[in-house]
Amino acid sequence: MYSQDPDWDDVVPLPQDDGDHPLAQINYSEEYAEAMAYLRALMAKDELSERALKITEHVIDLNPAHYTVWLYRVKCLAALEADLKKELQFLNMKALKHEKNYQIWHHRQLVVNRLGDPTGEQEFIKEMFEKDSKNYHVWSYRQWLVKRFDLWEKGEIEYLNTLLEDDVRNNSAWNHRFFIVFSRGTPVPEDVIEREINFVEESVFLAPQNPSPWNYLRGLMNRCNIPSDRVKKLCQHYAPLDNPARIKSSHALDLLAEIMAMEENGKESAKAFDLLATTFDPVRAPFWNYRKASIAA
Amino acid sequence: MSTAPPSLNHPRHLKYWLRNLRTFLPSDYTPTDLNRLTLGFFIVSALDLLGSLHTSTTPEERNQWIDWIYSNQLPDGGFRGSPATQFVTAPNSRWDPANLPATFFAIVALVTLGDDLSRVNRKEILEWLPILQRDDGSFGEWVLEAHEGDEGQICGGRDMRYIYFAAALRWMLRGKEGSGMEDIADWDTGKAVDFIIASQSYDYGIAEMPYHEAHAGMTYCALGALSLLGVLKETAINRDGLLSWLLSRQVAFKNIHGMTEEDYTEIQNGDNEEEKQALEEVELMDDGSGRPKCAGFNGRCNKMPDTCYSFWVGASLEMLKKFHLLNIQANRRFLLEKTQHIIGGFKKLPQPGGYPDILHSYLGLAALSLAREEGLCRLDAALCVSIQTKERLTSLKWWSG
Ligand SMILES: [Zn+2]
Repeated sequence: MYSQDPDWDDVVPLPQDDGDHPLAQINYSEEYAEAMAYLRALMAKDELSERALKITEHVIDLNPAHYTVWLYRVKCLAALEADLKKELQFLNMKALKHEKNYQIWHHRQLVVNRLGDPTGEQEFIKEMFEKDSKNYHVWSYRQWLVKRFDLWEKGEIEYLNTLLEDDVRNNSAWNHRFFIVFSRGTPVPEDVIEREINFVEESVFLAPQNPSPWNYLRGLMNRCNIPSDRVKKLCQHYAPLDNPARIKSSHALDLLAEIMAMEENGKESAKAFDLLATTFDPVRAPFWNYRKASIAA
Repeated sequence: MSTAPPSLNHPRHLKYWLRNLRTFLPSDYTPTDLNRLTLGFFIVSALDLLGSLHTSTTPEERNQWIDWIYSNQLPDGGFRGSPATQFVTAPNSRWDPANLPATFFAIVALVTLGDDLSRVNRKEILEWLPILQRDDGSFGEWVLEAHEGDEGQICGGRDMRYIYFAAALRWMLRGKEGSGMEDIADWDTGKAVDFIIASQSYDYGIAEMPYHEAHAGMTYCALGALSLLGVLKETAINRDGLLSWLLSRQVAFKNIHGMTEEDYTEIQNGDNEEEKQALEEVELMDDGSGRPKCAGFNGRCNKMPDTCYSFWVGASLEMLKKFHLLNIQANRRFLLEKTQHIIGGFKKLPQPGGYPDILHSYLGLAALSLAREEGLCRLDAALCVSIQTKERLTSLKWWSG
């Protein structure tokens, strides 16, 4: 209770004025309403102090999506020349508690940027991914981290290999893989391309009906010269048009239909689309029929 | 088990929204406290979609809510996200800033309530937008003013959502031919379009920014922005790829989707093979078509279906004029049978237990409205409001010029 605390004696709280006919009024807890009233009193006069830092922590705990309080905290940290390593420990706790919150990661980016040192960051992210390996904000932060500290070859691919070994369907990990291989703006060496195609082939073997590696393969095909025969063979292996009973992947069938259409083999392409519509992906039947019609046109 | 065809429980939804309108939201909404104007928009607009806003509320009440929204407008342009940042007796504009999403939601809520926007600081808002834009074409969410040697800064992530809000505000406030607003410097729409193009992923979905993972919500924002900028047709995105990616978001409803996480991990870790097999089972239509009975949408590849993605994906397809290619009936059954809540509203996930929330309840209605569900007003996909609300705006004198 701030109202009973001698450290806050001199502060006149600023209660919220919701007006006479508000929309979306929330039944605030007394704790939240009081903390907000004291926070407002400090922010109103731009007080950057220890107690300001403390009350930001309290409000963040109750409402981590409060968008101005985070920046106010940054200003307090700077004014107090606070130990940013300690701030990271604080953020670790908050991130594990409020997994879905994005402001925390934005704030972390500001702090780590100022620290100029990524030590421990990859380890902490690993801890986050153990809770949810598809957390969008954390993956976004990781991309920033890699770019900011030039971590392209500091264990990223190896870590992705383990993540995808755990769950080959983790599309966020596949996406990060594409980022690591293709976003540096330098030409991708032949052996890396070969490694990536092999990785796709192995992953498809584990789960032919997993869309992620097939999408990744399309990405590879668009970025570098991959012999179309090799891709065609892979597709035919999982989607033999002459033996539909042995088709194991609608994604192979889809890609094959596209390759056949490009080779102006309209008949085979139409057959693949028919199989998709009737048997292998009927939820999207109208789309496959549309695709079939568009190659005929 | 009932065999009655699923239907929208209109009276329950109405009751749910009137309760949100007239009584306090539970304290669980505290983490959305800074988005009170956004919540206000959902409430007012849901009643509008249900066709009940003007029958269930009085003109006097609507005027009072309009006044409340205006009380959150700031003199330098834009609206604050919530009265929570207002200092009342000791104003300090630095920490009580205008917020981009809130400004959009405030204005559409005003139009929905029947206001003519005559009290909106249109010029100031349009002048504020270029300040929010970054060099790479993206937008921030708010601006921290400079103060005693401390430089000002653009705050908030680099995020597709903010480009959408900037495009929507530009479209709403400039009017048809920019009438009367010609002298106000525009923001760099070309750069924003380039940012959108660069954010199309290798799998052809669109991400929050370049190289991030494709996401249906971000894709909606990107297409909405292009549509409201009037350049959707000619923009160099890969349309066929995007269409395929969007349609791939629809997933047949499996038993596993209707279980709590604890329940299915228990089965997955157990040794009952039959139960494990049943996890992946899909209930099919009984017409022999092999099509699933229920199929909702996920927001990213290999994720679980969630109510809101029926809207994000459906509205994206609608803007591309390809809505008819999705499995409309299976989506309808997913929403009505699996996430519609007995007390009205929609839950986020099709699992047992849980309560509806405002966001998913609104987007569930919006998704059904795109598919012309009986009892709902038709929806404008790009603005996410009813068509009559959009028309009320475009028939304002200053708008149509
Ligand atoms: Zn959702």
